[in-house]
Amino acid sequence: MYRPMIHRLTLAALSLLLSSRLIAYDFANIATSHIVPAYQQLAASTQALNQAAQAYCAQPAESSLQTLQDAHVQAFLAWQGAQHLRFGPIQYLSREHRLQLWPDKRGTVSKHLRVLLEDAALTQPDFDISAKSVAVQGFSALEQLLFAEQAPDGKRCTLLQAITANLQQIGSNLLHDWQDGDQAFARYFSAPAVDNPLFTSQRELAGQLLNSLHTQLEFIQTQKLGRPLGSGPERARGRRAEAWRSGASLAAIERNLQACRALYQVGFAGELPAELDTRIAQAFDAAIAQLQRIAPPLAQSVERPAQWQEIQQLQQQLNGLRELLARDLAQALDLSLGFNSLDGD
Amino acid sequence: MQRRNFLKLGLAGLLLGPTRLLAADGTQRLLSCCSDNARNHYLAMLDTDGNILMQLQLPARGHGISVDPQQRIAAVFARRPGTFVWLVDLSSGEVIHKLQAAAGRHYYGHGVFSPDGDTLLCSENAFESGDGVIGSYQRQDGWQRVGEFASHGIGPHEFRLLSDGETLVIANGGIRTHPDLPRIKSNLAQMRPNLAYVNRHDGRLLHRHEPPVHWHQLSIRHLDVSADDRVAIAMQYEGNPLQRPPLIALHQFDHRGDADLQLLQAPQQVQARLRNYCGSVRFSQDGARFAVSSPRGGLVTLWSSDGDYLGAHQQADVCGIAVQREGFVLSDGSGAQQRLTGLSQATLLSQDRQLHWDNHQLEV
Repeated sequence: MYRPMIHRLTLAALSLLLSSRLIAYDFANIATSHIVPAYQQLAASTQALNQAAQAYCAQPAESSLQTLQDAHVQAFLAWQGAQHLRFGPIQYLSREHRLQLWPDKRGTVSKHLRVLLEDAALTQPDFDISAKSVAVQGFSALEQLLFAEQAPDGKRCTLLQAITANLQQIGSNLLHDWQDGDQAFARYFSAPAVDNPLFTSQRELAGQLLNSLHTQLEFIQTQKLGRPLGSGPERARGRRAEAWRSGASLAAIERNLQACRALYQVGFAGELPAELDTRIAQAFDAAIAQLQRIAPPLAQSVERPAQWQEIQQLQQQLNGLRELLARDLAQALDLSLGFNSLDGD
Repeated sequence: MQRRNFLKLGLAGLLLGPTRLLAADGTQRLLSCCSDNARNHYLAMLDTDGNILMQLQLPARGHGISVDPQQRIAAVFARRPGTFVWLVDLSSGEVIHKLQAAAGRHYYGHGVFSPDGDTLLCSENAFESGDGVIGSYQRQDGWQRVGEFASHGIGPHEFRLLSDGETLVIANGGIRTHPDLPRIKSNLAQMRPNLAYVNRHDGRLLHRHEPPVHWHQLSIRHLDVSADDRVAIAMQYEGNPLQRPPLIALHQFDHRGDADLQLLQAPQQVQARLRNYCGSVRFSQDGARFAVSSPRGGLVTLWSSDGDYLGAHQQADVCGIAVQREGFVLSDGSGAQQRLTGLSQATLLSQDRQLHWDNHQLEV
């Protein structure tokens, strides 16, 4: 009884000692190979979206509407590929919520859209959507305009162009804030140090990255899947799915999971004991494979009992993956996920 | 769902048994909210060695805790934008009443009992207008909500009673939110936080103090009051993260109301590590010093009651501060309770890695 206990403690101490000697995060590489490319995609695809909106509204037609809808989905998915990065410039100026307001439990987006469409200010030359409610500024509002029963025209076209211009602006500002100039966020991110005003230590920053990953997996599990699933097949509600109008719900989750897996790979995989890395990598792969078993669109699948089970299965796998990160990975690298520090009050 | 909660509550009740939670010899206890990895939320009572004596499951995440001056009842407040306040009998651990937010109101997470223990005041959001209010609940009326008065600002958060038993000092954080969009701060460009002194009977505003105009995005959130009515204030900055505003302040109430906020700065290196965010603030038992937690920087700074910087203690994700004769008990998000005596002697009392201690704790 006594000896194995000591043995285990020695092992734990040894592994901590070993790991603390070997851990050397390469934050500069995480920024240049993972984060900045995600924002480059967002900037480029929101620019393309804005161009498609101008083209459609100049001459509304079924074919250009299709092009615009496709551009919307592309830009929306680019955002989904950056959604797990919950730190830095995305936190300034409510950008995250201005890009996308979801979940929207009380129909705030529809409500504010209705009001704004009746507002005379909309057609004035100095109309500035970035000063309006966050609810009408981003992808959620745009999706409602683009995937309605009637093709958008008139005031709706004015509004949707304002939204796409706003999205392009936010996308380009995010990229700028990350990479340009003396105050580029990537500079602070790449070199945590005692005199760095934003990140004092490698451990602190690695903890924030881990929290970002964990938060995103929890968001997928409890919101993106949990909200439409409900408490049983008879309680499922397809219209509670994210992006149900455009049918991009599952594609969004797939992009999220791929992005999380990529961040794990570039940020943490190399620092872990091979056995734990294998378990986490397999858990990611299994979740992505399970996701691919679900037939799109999610809003319909969730209301079919057999598919409901598959979706719930994915939820459970994400829960297991989350625990691997929060417990095993955090322990192996001596990281704190942050409970009080990242969700303040 | 409801049945499962009920069962867990029943279990909590069984765990408690019939024993008194408060020790007969008056030994101190600690109260704190916490959450586990499965996102269950509790009110916990601990002994002074950090051992958990009781866990009561809450319907959602808790935040502040107040105890009546007679130490019979603890009020545990839902985290904003919460809709419940539970009153817990401190001798049995039983829930004696569940307050529910009034229509058009939600709780901000803090409250105060009157000196006779018969009135509970709660900071609330009248969310359609965005006005901060203080709701009043009376024991004689079965803890019904009997009225409200203005907090004289947006976003009232923590507040306390001065030694006269009449005057409230209220931290109006200045940030407007609506429960439809609970995490969205809709007025960051226009925010005007303040510290308001308000009569608790008629809601009359005595004095109001704001940070300097160029620091108008300094949200005044948490405060504590010493026996001689010094108010220590912990703030959170909503502006550019590369700026370094003061985050801690002192204020002394006087009836003319002409004293300004005394803004405090730690030495430059330390100030930077506060990460523009302070969580809890508490005076020591003798009132000679106070402690402020900065969870983002993993730091607790110590200050004299005249505003001199004394030192700092490191503890990752630290937030809750309880007060003992020996010093402060500090809780963190990794389930640890540490006792800090003097300026730097820290002792780990207990740690449960499955638990995350929430923002505030209180001694009874």
